Amino acid sequence: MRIIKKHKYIAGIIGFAVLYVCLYAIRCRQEEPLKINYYDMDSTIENGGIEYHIEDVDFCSENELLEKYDIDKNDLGKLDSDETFIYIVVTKKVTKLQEDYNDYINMDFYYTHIYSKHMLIGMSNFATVELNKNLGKKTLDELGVGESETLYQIYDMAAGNHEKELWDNYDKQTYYFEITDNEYHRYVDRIRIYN
Amino acid sequence: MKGTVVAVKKIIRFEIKRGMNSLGMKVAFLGACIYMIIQNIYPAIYAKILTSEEYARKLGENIYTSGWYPASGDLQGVYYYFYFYGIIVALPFGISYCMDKRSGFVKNICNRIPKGKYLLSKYISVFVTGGIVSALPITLDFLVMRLIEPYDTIDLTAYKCALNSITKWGSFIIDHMYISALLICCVWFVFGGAFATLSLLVSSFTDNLFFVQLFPFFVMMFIYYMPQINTYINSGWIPMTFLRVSSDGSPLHGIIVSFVIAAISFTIFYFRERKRDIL
Repeated sequence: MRIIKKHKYIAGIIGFAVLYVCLYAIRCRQEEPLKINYYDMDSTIENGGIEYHIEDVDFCSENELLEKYDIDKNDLGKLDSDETFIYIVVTKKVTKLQEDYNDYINMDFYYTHIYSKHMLIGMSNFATVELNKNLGKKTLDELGVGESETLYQIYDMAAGNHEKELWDNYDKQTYYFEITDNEYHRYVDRIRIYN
Repeated sequence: MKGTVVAVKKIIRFEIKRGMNSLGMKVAFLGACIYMIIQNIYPAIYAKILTSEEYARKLGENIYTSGWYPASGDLQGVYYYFYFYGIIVALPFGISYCMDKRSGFVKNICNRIPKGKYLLSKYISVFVTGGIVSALPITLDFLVMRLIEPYDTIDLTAYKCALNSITKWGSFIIDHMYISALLICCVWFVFGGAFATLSLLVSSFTDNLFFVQLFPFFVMMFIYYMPQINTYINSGWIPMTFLRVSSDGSPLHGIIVSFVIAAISFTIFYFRERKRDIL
């Protein structure tokens, strides 16, 4: 007791540290860790399609959705738009980010899309997903696909003061996407750019 | 020699203790903490208790869920803090030298130890108290936010922070979250300390307590508006950048700026006051 009184500040810090570590351990047990997925621009994302959320029902697997709405598999994940052009970067099995990016360079960036399972980068509100004849066209909002950003915004965010430098060297850069489950307030979506 | 070192240590310890126990320290620390809670912790807790759907609906109502105050995407909120940053860091001990002169405390002290040593200890104590009141609230904020979101990374995503390898610091933040947080806390300490010593610098020119207290605030205001006056200034050297989690600034910028401020204030305060006759 006398030692604690003598070194009360050190004792206080140690006590705080012990309490904090205990609380942190408890919180770690309560929460689930984020699952961060890494996507390379050159890579092909398996199952990079839509995670469906229709009429308050989650469809975690493709088969569930097919059964529920009697949809033909080929109709899934087909993006359509009222705009002049839109990139179909999502198919149910393949999403090639690189192709999309290269096409994007000469186009109006506002209508360019990179589309992944949990996150949507570059979105037009007019885009719809044609599910099938029974369900008709659904907007992406209705499908609950989550976040959206235009590539222009990504550049803006990534670049900061170096925006021009990035633009000038776009073809030399490699992009890595860190995307995780989008629970609105628990997500990581970063884009790291390597030269 | 050994006796002098012991005396200096004693006086430094005494001055720091005075600073830590001062009313200004308590007010500044509490004020900073309350601001962090209102601006950062409360919204995070509020967002946590909402369901995803509720949160999605509320997104338009400016609920920010930044993982850490310096990484907050709510730029306006962060800048409001910087408005008062100058006052917060100077509040604990910034005006102490003026007060000591007024009350005659300096005379008593300088009768016992050399004046230079007193000035040095005063400078160090102002630096340390300013640094503590600057760094402690954001350190606590970081710890509390880790409790709210234990697995979250420093939330750079408030504005979908995308970092690039053009700035090595940007990549470093992603790879080593905790180390970068520690480094940023250190920069807050060093910069806060250096900024608080601006009050000492002014105390050697004037005895006006009001002006001495508010001088760091005026300097911060000047720095805040400087990029708007001169657009050629690299934003990496502005405190609003290097004190935040940003790929543009880096701790190195912060350390250099702090060193320059500290060197200027020390040189002017120490050598000017040493020559003056307090007694």
